[in-house]
Amino acid sequence: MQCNKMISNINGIGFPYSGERDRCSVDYVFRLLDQLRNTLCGKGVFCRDAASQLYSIVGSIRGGEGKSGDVGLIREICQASLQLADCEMTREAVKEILSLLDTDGENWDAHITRRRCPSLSCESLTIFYIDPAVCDGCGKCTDICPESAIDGSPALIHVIDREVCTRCAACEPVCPVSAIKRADVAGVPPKTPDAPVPVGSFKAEPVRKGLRKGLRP
Amino acid sequence: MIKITIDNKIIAAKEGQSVLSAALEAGVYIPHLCHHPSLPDIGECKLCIVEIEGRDGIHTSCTTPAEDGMVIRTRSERIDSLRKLSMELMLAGHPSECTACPKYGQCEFQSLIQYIGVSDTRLRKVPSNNLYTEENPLFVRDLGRCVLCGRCVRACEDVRGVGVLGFKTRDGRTEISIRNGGLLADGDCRFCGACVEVCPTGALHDKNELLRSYGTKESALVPCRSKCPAHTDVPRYVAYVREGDFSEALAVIREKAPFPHTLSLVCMRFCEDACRRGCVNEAISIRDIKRIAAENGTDLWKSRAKSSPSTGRKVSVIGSGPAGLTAAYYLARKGHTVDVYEKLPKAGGMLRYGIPGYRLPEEVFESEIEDILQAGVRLHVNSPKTPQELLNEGTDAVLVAVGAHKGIRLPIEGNDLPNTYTAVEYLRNAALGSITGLGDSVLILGGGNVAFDVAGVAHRNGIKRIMMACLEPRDAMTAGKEEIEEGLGYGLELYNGKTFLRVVQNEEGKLSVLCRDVAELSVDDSGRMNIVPVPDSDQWLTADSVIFAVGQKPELEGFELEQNRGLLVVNGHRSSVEKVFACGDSVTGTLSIIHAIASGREAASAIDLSRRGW
Repeated sequence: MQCNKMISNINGIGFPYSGERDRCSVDYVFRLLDQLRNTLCGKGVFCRDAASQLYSIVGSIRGGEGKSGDVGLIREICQASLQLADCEMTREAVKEILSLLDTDGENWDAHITRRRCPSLSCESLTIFYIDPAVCDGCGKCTDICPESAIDGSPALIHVIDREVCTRCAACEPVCPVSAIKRADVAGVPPKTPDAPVPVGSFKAEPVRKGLRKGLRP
Repeated sequence: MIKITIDNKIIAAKEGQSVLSAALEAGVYIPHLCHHPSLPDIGECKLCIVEIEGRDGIHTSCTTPAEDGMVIRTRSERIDSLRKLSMELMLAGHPSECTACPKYGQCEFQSLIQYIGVSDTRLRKVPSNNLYTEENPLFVRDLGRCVLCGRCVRACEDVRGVGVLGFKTRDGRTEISIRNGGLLADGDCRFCGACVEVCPTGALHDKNELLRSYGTKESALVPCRSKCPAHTDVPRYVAYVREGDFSEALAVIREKAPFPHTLSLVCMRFCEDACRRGCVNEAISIRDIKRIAAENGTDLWKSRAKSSPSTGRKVSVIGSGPAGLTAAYYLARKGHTVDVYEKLPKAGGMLRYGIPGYRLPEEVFESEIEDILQAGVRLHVNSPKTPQELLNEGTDAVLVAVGAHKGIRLPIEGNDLPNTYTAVEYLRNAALGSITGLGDSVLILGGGNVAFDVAGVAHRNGIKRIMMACLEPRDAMTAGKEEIEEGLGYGLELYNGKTFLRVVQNEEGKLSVLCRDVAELSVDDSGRMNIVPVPDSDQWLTADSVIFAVGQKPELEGFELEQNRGLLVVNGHRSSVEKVFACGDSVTGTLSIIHAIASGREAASAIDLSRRGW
């Protein structure tokens, strides 16, 4: 049976990938696959099962749990789908994935081997924090956080509890002063107050790179 | 004729046949999962992929029509790796363990895993829909084991034209969904079972409790046929009646039983008790459907019945009840010369002397007996015979089918007082027209169908007060539900859970039975009944007459055959004496007409098969 779904059936994500808009190709492919698996008719193995398998693999890469053979596996599945998928939609999608593996290989390698997302797009590989120099203590982030991971009161600098934060990014768009920022999970953790303090009272000590482990200069 | 080459083997294909079907028919195996011989092909599992010489790419052989001169390869490095990947992708969303699955050993997916040689270690396990429900009648739906081959959807849509099932994707997962969601009945499912039949995995399977008491799967799926003692092909004749072909339907019934019209009135309907439709709403009215066939069918069956050339052998049957006459009929068809000896003045056995005429009119069974006699069976009435006499007269084999015509009286004091009768005596006298005077009231001891027959006859003969007392509680009575309701309808007084101690006659000549309530009733391994009475619950039931309807046994005086508890001992219908066979109630004790007929047919078969040794 031929399915006549086209790549234009996928909406909710821009297609094709644009480095400017989408920044991280891993995150983009993850969202593309999520759209694909929710849009396909579900009858063919190389659409349905391939999409959910790829979604699962890319999802783990995006979550910092990729394995060394994953890129090869993605290529194998994509190439098989290119030959045997019944609809144009799936074939175009896997073609796009294959081309991103070729053109943006370094980014994929960073995710899998170094567990880093260089563009800080993949939430699991980032730390969310509130820049104490920017926060004006409005409290909108506290209200929206589904995990109640943000502590603070009016006119206090708000603080995200990193143990509780699930990196859902819900707070990001509601902050009127763009104080919520991302940092590389593998990099130096940003300095923030341990508990809410009045706005304007926190002074970050300069970070002395390389000396955090007690090494001498 | 189209010729194609598959893996260097030349095979023939029919016009329009797919490469896969042609290959499978020629004995060339190509792995496949979504293909099923009864369903249209869609080519979605990609396991049947092949390469075709002169064509680019890879093709699903189930959707590729065979063309003359095609050269096809079913194996190559490319095909093997794609086929393996397809299996791995499906397996990623399937439970890893097979041993806990009810389809273990019969699962097509399991076979493919082994044939193609895949495991689920290379890919990520993908969470699947774990919906498991037993809420639907007949089937279990276990979507965790579904591989989404879509066979059930096509069976429902394309084969049955019902379209209850469909693919549905939500939360990134695809599942087979039911129209209107919810249960199958909400989606207007007809419960035909086609989806279960084609499911390759354990995702759809019959409920275990429906299969357990049957030997084979087939007998469980057609319980009406397997639970019929004669194994009448119920679905086949019901289908003929549906098409309005009553004569064909009648011929089907007559394959197994020469009394279709009789059965259509008085059969105990083991088929309807077992009917799977009963799990959905209510059983098919099989007996009434049989009646339509019996009353409207023609003599077509006569041309369908096979007659073997004469064997020159002589078989004598003692007893002309349903068992004896059935055996006589099939023996005559097999080319034996058959003589039936009946002690009583007319043929029919319990059909005539046991079942009251208001349930089974005389003309019904008489015309069916006439059909049997027309097949070449000779009937001798008023002829009591013993097996030994017949053997001395030179018969090659004797079949004892004397039934159980001796009514049992309970072994209690006063059981032989005047105005006490057995059910057999009473019913026989009623049939012979010599009505027994019961007075104004009667007490029937026993709660089976025979007891209700007695009550029915007594009611029709104007007895004012009819009482019935039996051991069993109401819900354990052996009589049919309808019989009980009919009885209560005309005012029968029913006393359940009573045991009887003695019968006494008072000065006015009335009989009183001393009863005691039963607290507990059980049957031990040896078949002996244990009754625990309720203390101080003695009571008297008084009537003008008392009838024992507590069972019957065969009359076997002078037969000199081995017996056990009053019944003949047989081994494959052979009695203890050479050349003497036995069947029916005289072997089994009182059962039913259809049991007697089934037993007669089996005995005929045993006699026919034994003729080599004559």
